Amino acid sequence: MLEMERAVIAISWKAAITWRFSMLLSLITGPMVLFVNYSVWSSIYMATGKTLIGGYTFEQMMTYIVVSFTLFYLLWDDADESLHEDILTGALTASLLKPLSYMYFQLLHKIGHRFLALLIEYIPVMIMAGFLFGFDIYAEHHIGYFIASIPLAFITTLLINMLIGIAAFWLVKPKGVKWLYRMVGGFLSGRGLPLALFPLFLQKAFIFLPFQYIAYVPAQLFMGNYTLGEVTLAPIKVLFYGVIQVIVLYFIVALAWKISVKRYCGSGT
Amino acid sequence: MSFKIHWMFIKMKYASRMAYRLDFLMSIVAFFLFQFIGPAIIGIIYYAGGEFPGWTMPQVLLIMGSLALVRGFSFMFYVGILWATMRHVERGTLELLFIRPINKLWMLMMDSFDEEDIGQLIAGLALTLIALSLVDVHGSWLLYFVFLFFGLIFFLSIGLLGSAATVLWVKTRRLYEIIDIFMIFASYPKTIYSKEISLLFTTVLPLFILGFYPASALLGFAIDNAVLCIVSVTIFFAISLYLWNAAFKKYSGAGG
Repeated sequence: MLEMERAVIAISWKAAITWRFSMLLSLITGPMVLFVNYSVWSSIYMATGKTLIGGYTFEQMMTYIVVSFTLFYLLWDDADESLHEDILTGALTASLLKPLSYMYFQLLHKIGHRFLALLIEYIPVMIMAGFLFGFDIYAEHHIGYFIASIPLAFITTLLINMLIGIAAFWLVKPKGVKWLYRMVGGFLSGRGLPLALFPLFLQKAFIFLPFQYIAYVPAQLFMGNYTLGEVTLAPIKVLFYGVIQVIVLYFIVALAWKISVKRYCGSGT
Repeated sequence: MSFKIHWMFIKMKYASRMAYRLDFLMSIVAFFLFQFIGPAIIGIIYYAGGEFPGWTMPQVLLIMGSLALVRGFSFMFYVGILWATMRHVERGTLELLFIRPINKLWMLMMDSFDEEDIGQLIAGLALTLIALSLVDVHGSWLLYFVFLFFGLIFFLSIGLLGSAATVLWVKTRRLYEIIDIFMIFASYPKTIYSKEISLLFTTVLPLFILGFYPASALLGFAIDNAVLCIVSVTIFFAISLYLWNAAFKKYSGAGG
């Protein structure tokens, strides 16, 4: 059984290698985005003369930004796009015949191509950020909690993208739904801007949404603390709720898949 | 004549998108909301007690509104030449487009019309109007529109450069990401950047023409180096056009 998983991961890795030069572009774009954030926040802290904004020192803000932003390299997947394509082209018929569930296949595929991203995007950009802003931004770290939060973020991203992809069973042209999520998803997850800075009523809403586990939770756990909507939780509790959140989300996606796949009709390709 | 054909192209594009109304509507909403993410971030920063040196929140919104206005118009009418070139080069259909009896660049612009970017344009208009209702206008409307015009020229240059790069290298999908990063740089007041970066975005890559200078002109703020920025945009455009022509001379295809 494990041989099959290994084979899918290896194939995804090899396929991703063909895009290595495109991935290497992150070594330019990543530091550029981080630099503009640095310029924005350094001028804000300087203009206000405050040492704390929204409970963050300047160094903590930079830590949050770097950690939440770079994590995207490990989490990105195109499960929504793949599912759209497979449904529209009829390739899903062949996928449904495989001895792996579609979602499990996407998970293995993601592990393959994101492992490459870890090596040529994530680690180099983290190091470059250290050189740009000083390695002190990583000084206050709780690496254990952070690493434990990554699988939750990884699976949450995949499940949400699968849910977006499932829309293609119902819509002939599902591009709009995909765009809608891509445009606002990063913002709702706290990528680059801590959710703790948002108005209180929004923070309280975010507690019940899965998006915080994509960026806000990992970045906060990296710093060893978690507060949202006036709720402060110990890291271990945040991880526990994260697991529950993933299980609930999984059942929602599985149910949506079960109902939606009945609508699918293909003649084989 | 060309304008008439252009108008027909636009009508056809809308007619074909209306076949899938829900998808079209959601795309427009997505692009509309996308333009409000930057202003929402600004709102949250000010709400949390932060501020930009010398700029109030509505004034920063005016920068973003002006940028969104120029971006919305440009993306709708011609920045898409970048993606249209990529699509045609990949499929080998570029020469089929060019045998039509219309100027090559004009033809490509017609073909690249992006109907859902109307969401960005409406958002830009809405943002600008919201910002204008919250600020005191002490500056010049004429200068504001002059800067906006050069902003449109700057975006055309970006489209030309991207299109030329696509002809030479084919796979340039991540160019969009770089354009997005440029937009982030252009969304904030010049005062947050160091002197060197400010000079870079005034001359070599004149991003400040997109938001900072139009907003400053309208607010009556100092517009140091504005002429330099306009000259830079003009030179940038001339170089882009030259490179675009040079790249297309090198293009070869087998005829679809």
